[in-house]
Amino acid sequence: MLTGPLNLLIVQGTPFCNIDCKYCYLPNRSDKNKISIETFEKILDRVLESGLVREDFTIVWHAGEPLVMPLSFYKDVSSLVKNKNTTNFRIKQNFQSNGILLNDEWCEFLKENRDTVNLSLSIDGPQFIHDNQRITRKGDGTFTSVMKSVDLLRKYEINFGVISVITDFTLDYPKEFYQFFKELSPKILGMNVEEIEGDNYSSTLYAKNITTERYNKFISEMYNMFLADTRTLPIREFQQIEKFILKSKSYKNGLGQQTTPYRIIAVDLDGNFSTLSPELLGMKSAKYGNFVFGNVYRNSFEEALTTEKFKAVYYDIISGMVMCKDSCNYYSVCGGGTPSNKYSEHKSFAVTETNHCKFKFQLPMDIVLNKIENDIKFQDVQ
Amino acid sequence: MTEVELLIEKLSEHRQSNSYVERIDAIRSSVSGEFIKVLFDAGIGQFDESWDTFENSADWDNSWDQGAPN
Repeated sequence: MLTGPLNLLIVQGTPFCNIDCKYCYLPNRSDKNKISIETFEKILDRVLESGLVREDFTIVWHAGEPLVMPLSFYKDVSSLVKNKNTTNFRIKQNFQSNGILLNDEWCEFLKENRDTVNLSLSIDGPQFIHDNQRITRKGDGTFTSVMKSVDLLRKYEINFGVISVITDFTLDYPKEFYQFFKELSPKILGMNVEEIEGDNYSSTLYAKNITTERYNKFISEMYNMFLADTRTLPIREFQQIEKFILKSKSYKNGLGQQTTPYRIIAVDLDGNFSTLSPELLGMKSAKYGNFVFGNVYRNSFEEALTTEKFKAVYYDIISGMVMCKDSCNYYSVCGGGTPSNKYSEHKSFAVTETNHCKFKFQLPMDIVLNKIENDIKFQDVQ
Repeated sequence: MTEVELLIEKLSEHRQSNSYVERIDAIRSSVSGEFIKVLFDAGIGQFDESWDTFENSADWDNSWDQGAPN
């Protein structure tokens, strides 16, 4: 069954994070243990010998603050990747960071390796929004520290992406949010919804009945500003949906990145690995125990798929997708939802719609689709 | 064939026709590629050169939480 091809290898260098965001889904984020270079080498060996590398893939350093690890570790990683990769495919690295620990040495590393190493910062908007949710363990805002790092990146002329988490608080400030990011000028802005997932057991977005309407208004205003500015600020969600509507060859019909084994592999600092949705790696479950399917020191990726646990999880996931296909109008444009969100919200994979579906796919799809239809009608009239 | 394989086969059966498929089909059939280009240049924004390389719907999935996709 071993499938892939591998797109993302998500590696947890450490579960530790130097800040304590209100919505964080990661368990054990006070745990200061770190991955060893030997464990990373074992992960890389397993991946390269697996047959899963059939196109370029990216190592994503995530699930804990990656810059907590010493820079020397990543220099060793880069050397290992360069020396061991005998395939014809490129292996890139992406750091998803709060940015606070950036310094001159890090910037020099990023600049020297700009062809293969990318940085994405987590910034939630202007200071009054960011500091409302991205805080230290003492409860202080982190905006000022992050912006010092942004200044440093600008000094070194390093482009960076941004992921921003949209909470209920954000929804009242679309103009301030948009204007801030327009001035910040990231190479791409990803808007993640605050999800119920892992250790985050509630979402301010899902808590209030009126939020759907406010979220719709927020996304509509964001899309209007995105268009009015001729896409000067690249917003991931709008770009992807527009391209899907106008240019993709096919509708969603079958398995996607989070429902095909090993298009994503997530590995923790001890070498335990999971697949499908990356967030599954740290999650616990009454039914399955957890979602660790193997360990790189003991198991190949192929044999991990033969375990009873994987078979049970995967059967339930695919059953849920079939239910989506049979019952949801959005299936052709959504593909059957994301397993980790289904499980986190409903404690089951064999379910259909989630709040995540609604906020991440359905509402933005309707807004963009309506806009394109209206523009075409307008052109026809002219 | 295992139970999972049977379910996967069911997933890839003929395309489900519904209001979204019909609406997107209508958009695609009512405009030529050039028209879309003009529409975007003149009406709702800049045409992105990478547009033409976007050929697979699965690309929509290839963005798990990456703020800086390569």
